[in-house]
Amino acid sequence: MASAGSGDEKAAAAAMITLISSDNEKFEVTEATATLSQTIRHMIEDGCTDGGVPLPNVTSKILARVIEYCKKHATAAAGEEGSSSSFSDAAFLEVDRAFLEELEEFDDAFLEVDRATLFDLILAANYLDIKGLLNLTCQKVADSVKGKTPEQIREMYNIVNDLTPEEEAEIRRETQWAFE
Amino acid sequence: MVFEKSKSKKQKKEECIINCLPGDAIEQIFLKLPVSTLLTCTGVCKKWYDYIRDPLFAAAHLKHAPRCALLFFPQESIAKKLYPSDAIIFDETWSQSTCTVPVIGPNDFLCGTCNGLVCLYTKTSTIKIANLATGDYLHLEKPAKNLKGDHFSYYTFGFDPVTEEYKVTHFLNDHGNSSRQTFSVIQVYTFGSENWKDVHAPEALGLGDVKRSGVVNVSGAVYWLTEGNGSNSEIAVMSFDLSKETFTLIQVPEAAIGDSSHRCYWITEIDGKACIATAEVYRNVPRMLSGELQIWTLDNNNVEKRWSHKYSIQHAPNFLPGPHFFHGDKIIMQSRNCNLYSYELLGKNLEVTKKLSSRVGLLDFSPYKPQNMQSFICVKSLVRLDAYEKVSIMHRPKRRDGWELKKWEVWERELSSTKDLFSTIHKTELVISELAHLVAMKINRMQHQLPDEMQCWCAEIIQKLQHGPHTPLQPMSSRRLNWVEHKRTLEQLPIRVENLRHKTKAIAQAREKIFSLLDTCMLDQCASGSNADISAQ
Repeated sequence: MASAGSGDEKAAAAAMITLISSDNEKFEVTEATATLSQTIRHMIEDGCTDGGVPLPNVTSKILARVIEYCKKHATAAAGEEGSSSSFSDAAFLEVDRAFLEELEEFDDAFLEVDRATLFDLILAANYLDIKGLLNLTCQKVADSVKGKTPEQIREMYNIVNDLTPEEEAEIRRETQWAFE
Repeated sequence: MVFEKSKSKKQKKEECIINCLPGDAIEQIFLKLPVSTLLTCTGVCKKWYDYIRDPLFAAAHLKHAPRCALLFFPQESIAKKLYPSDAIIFDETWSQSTCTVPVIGPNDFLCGTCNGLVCLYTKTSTIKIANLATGDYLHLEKPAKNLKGDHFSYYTFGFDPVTEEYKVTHFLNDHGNSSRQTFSVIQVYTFGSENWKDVHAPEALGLGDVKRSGVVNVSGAVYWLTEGNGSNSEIAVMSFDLSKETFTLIQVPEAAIGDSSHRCYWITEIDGKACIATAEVYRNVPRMLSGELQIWTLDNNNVEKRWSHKYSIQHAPNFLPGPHFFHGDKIIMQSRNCNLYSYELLGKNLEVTKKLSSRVGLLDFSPYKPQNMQSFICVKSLVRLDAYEKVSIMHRPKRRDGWELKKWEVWERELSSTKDLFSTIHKTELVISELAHLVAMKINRMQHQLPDEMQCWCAEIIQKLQHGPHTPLQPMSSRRLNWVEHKRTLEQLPIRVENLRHKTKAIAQAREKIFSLLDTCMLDQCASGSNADISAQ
C-alpha cells in the first residue's frame, strides 16, 4: 500500500481506506477523500490504517454524510490544484467559477439537515478534524443566532437560563453603551 | 405514554447539545459572530457569559476581527452653529453605520485606535480609553492639567507586541518663542503603571506635521513626519519604538522629495507597513492635490530600513483623509464638495503607475470640512479594560452624557423637534395609507357593477391610491443617528410629505366620484320610485 508523501500520487489516489462507524458499518473511501480529515491523515502517515479505521464516535448515518462531503471537496481540491498549475486564462477562470458555484450549491444543500444531525456533524468534523466541514457547520449555527434576543436563543436551543435577575440586570448595564 | 417519554428524552438530549459541544467547536461558532451578537449572547446563560467575556477568547476573536474604516469628524463651528464630534464606521462590506458610536461623545476628539480600543482626547483633565464596540471605558489622567496649547493630535495610542502592553504617548509642546511649534520630550504612559514617564528626544522636533498629517502606529512603533529647522528643512520620518522607547530618524527617499516648494507629505499605513504619500498641492489650498500621488512603503526590520516605490497614482482628486486612506484594496478620497469616495487602483500588476477606477460615492458629510476629517483602520473587539481599573491614575468615573452640556441645548432641542415632526408624519402616513387602502379595496370590489365607461377611472384611481413606497414606512430610530444618516432622513421628509399629499388628493377624488355616483343612483331611484307610485295609482 502506497503511503502519503511517497510522491507517487496515482498510487495514493487509488489506495483505498476502510472506515468503520460506531455501529460497525464499513465504508471504502479513497485516500484523497479520507485525508481531508487531519485525524485520518495522521493515522495514514503513522501507517496504522491496515484492517480499517474504527471511528467509535461516529454513527454510520453521520459517517455517510461526512464521506459525501469529503468526496465532493476532495475532487474540488484536486480540480484546484490542476487549474492553478496551468496558465489561468479566461476559460479556466470560467471553469473555476462554475466549479466554485457548484461547490457552494452543494454546501448549501448539504446543510439542509435537522438540528440534531447538524450537531452530530459538528462533533464528527471536530473529532475527525475536517476544517472545512467544521467551518461550514459552525457557520450555520452562528448564523442562526444572529439578530435574536437571548430568550429566542434559549428557546431555539433549549438552554436553561441560569442567570439570576441581578446578573441579567448587570449584563444589561454592561452592554448599554455598546455599538451595533 | 411511550411517545411522551421518548419526546421528553429527545428534548433533554437537545437541551444540552449546544453546550455539550467540545470547547473547540463552541469557539468556532463564537469566533464567527460579530461583537454585537456576542454581547447579546452573554445574556443567554452563565456558561456563555464566562466563555465570551474570557480575555483569552477576546484575544482569539480579535485575530479574526475584520478591519473596518472609522471616519471621524471633530466638532466644528460652521456658520455660527456648533456641530458635535461624530463617527461613521464602514464595515468590511462597506456598509455604513447609521447610529452614533455611544462611547464617542459630542465633545471628544479622536487620537487613535488600536485593537478595538479608541483613545479620546477631552478638554477635561483626563483622556478617555474606550472599547468602541462593547462600550467599556476608563479615564486616564493627563500628564499635566490644563496644558497650554495642547492638541488632541499630540496624543497617540498603540500596542507594543513585544511586551503586549498598551501605551499612550504625548508630544509635550515646548512653547518656544519661535513660531515653529516643537517638542523635546515624549511622555509615555504604559497601561497598568502608576505614572507617565518622560523620554527625551535627541533634539527639538517639529509638531506642525503631526498636527497636519497625524501619526500611525505600526507593529509597536509610532511614525510621524517632521520637518527640520532652518539649515535642514528637509522632510523626514521619525519613529518612536514603543518597547525600547527610542527615537529613529528615517530619511525619505530622494526621488520622493522633488524640487517643488508646493509639495505635501502624509504619513500612512498599508498592509501593516508605514508609508509616506506625497503630491504637489495647490499654492492657495495647501492640502489640495494638484498632481500625481506617490506612495512609498518602508520595510523596517532590525537589519535595514528600505523604501520602495509602491504606487504612482494619476489624477488623484482633491483631499486625502489621513492617516489611513487605504482600506483593504480600496483607497478613499474626498472631493472639495464634502463627498467621500472610494476607488480601486487600476494598472498592470508589477507597474507602480496606477489609475483610480470604480468610483463609489460613500457619503456626503457636509457641512463638516474635508480637511478636519480623520480616517482610521479599526476593528470591533471584546478587549476588556477592567484589568487596569486598579491603578490610581486610571479610573472609571460615573459616565456623564456629553449631550447634557449647555452648549448642546440648541442642538438637542432641534433634534427633539425633528423627532416630533417625524413621528407626526409617520402616524399620519399610517392613517392615510390605511384609508387609501380601504377605499382602493372598496372601489376594486364594486368595479364590476359599474358601467363600462367607469372602468378606466377605477383603474386610475386605484393606482393613485396605491402610489408610494411599498415597503412599510419606518418610524425614526430611537437611537441617536449619526450626522450623515440624520441628514439622509431629513432629506426624505419632503418626499414623504409629497407622497402623503398625493394620496390625500386621490382619496378626495375617489370620495367626490363616489358621492356623485350615489347622487345619480338616488336620483334614479327617486325617479323610478315616483314612476312606481304613479303606476300604483
